[in-house]
Amino acid sequence: MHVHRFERIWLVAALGMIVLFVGTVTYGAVVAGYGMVDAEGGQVDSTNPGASESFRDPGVYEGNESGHYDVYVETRRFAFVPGTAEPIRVPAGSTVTFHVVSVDVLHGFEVAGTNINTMAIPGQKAVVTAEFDEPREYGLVCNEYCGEGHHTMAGTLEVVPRSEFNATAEVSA
Amino acid sequence: MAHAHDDRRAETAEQPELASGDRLAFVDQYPSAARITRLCFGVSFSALLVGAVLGIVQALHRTNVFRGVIESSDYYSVLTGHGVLLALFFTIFFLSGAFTWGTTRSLGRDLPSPRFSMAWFGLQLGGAVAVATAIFGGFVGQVPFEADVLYTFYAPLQAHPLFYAGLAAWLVGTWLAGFDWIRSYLRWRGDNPGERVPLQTFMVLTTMLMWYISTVGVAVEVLVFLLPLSLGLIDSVDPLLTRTLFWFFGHPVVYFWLMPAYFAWYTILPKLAGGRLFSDPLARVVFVLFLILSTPVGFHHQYADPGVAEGFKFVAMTNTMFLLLPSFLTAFTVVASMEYGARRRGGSGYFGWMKALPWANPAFAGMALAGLMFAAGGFSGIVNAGMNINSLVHNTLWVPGHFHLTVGTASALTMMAVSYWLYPQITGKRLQLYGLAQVQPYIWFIGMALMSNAMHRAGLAGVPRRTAEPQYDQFSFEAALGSIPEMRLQIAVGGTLLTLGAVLFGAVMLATWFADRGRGRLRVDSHLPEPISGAEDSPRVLDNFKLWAAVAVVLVAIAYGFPIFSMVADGPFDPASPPVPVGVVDAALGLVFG
Amino acid sequence: MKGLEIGTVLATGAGGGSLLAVTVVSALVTALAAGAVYYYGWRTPPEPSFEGARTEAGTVGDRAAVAGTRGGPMYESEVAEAETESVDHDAFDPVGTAALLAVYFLVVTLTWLFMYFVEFLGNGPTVVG
Repeated sequence: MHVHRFERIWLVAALGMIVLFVGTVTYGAVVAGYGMVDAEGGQVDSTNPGASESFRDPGVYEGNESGHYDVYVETRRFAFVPGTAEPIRVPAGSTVTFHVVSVDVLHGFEVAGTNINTMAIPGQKAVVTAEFDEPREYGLVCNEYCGEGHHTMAGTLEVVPRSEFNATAEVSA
Repeated sequence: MAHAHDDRRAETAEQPELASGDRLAFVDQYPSAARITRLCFGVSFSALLVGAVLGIVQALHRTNVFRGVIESSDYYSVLTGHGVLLALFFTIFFLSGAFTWGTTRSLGRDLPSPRFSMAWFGLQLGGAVAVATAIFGGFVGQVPFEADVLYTFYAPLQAHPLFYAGLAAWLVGTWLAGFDWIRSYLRWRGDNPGERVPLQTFMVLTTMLMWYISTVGVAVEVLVFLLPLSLGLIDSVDPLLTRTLFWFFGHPVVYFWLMPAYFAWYTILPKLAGGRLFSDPLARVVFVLFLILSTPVGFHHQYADPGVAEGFKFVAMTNTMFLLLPSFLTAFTVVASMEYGARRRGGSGYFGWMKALPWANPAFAGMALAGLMFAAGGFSGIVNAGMNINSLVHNTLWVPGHFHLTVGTASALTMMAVSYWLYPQITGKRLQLYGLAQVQPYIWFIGMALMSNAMHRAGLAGVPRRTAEPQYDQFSFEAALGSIPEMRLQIAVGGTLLTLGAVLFGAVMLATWFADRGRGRLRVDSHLPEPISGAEDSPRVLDNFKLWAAVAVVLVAIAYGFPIFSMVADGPFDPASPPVPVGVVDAALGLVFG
Repeated sequence: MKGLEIGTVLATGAGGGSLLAVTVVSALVTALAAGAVYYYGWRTPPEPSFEGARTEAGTVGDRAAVAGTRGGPMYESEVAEAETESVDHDAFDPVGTAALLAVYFLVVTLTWLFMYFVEFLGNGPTVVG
């Protein structure tokens, strides 16, 4: 098969680009330590996640290590619990693991403008861990269509200075 | 070198008048095929026009430029209509017509059974009408038809059974269309043992083989799960499994949109540029690569899904990155083919040769601009494919920004451009309103450039897709490049230009349809020049369809076997999620959310 | 795109109302521009000669009976001579293609590195799992 010299060169360049893309993504996973949402969250009851072992009542909990918090979030038509009626509050300088479930249909849980972006699928629990350094306010967006009120589904995540974070008041038992 | 003359015999068999200088137009040479193609194009263009109107309603609504047409709660019916009409019916009815034309033309024989062909067309049309009824019923309160489920119809959101039944019927129609073309090929093969498969037929066959493999996923999803669920025959489904089955199909379907565009860029575009296809063998390699790699990548649409192990996502990522290869190869071959033509027309220099191309020919301009835009769309697709970087853009407005460049321009604009060249040949009428046709691809290109760049940047700021009112009280989006109001403006203006582009196209087609046939000649001819490197240079193994289909199936089994098994192992309907009908419950909630 | 710049200034100031006005004005301006191009520039190219109009008798035979409604069968235009010549497939070096693809290679590679390392890894709270 006759392949023109230029085409051979381009083939090498194309394969080189492909290797570059696969390589950087692998670097991000392995070296930079970016973990994907995956199956480690396990399964939950698809309409009553609180009844399952792997989920708890929605809220902010202290984690196993100091400076670590677990936030249990329910997504429902059309609110984040917590998040919509009251903001999710975590202290600055902490590592937060979000445990996200759905009680009805597919939802999205995105901290707007960040890389914290996961699906909420009935029957599954999504787990995402992130480090929050500075105090800031973030928006929460549902970015997966969930029905007619989808565009009203939003909330806030407040990263507050350590001194303002009252553990006894804010953290669930 | 005698390559250019090798296929002369086949050419003269098709066109006995060639020797005397007169080539009969397709409409008179192959009347059955021409009729089927006209019918398919008619449905395709109608779907385009309706879908375009829905699109402008959306563009103005979500940017808050004009919300007087619909309520926000109805936005999702509009969006479902826009997605289904454009991404399924406009594109695939066009493919059905173009592939009918391509196989007929390249094999030199009319359809074996016009009745069978009408049957598959009728089935596709019937299915499409059923789906459209379900969707548009959502605007009318008094009828039970609802399908506010969007083009992806994820469970447990549930539409009226007519939606799923219509989709199933339409899908079977596409399968039968494939059988029609395969049967034509097999009859040709019986008469021509040992001949290389003509390139256009080769492309049709590889595309359809890919389609048969990939539609298994959505067929199972609809027939085993969603249709029974909507009829009340089963109580619940596993949303993760049905979603996975959808994306088994949902990625290859984009190649069902792209391969017809490549079909045109490889076989028609070189001729319009005054050139020749640079390499037939490379074109075959590209289509074989699509056949084997299109399906085992579906998990790249599920990077953010819980319940799917990271290993499967990684495999999908590497497969997807390798799926870039056929597109990169296409860039070389197609541009080289055009360059050949430009230099024959007198173009010179490293870049100046592009000026010598026939930019005033709307069929050429549309395809060339579509290809150019695809180069950008491909890049945003690479970001989507990059597993972890996908988190930056998942379900944001970046994603529609990406696919409006790819299906919305590379496919759609190419399909419109091909029509300018082909429609006269299948109707026997000269293209009318030629000046409007000349301007239309540029209007489309500019409109898309405006709308899509703004969508990409808005996505980076976190603006979500599929949302009627992406303006929230609780917070505001921060744009790194530009400002949110300016992005909304570009989306609105770009969308308006695109709708104008669709309307111009519709006007040209309508005017041509209503024109008199008259006597004499068309302004176009269907002669496709021999490639510079022809079919005889390509290894015979490329034409071994059974081999490549087998490889495709093996790769799919590797990518999907274990994940689907583990989803089904705890029960195909577990974790069980009951259906959530859209419209009924939502209407009640609508009293609260408005 | 002057209209757009003015539009941006107006739009960033106020809310939906002026955005609507600007959209409508921009669309009108573009439609006028397109109309002007059509009217003054490109028009329907000159008609090719009609000498190809065949009678039903003679070489065409029974095809004419099948063919169209009025006027008999339609024929394609003449095929350009360049399309039927033979070509030497070693004679053409696509240097223009090579140049374009070299530019594309650079743009894609550099933009990817920017997107990945600056936009993505440099973004917001660090996701670790």
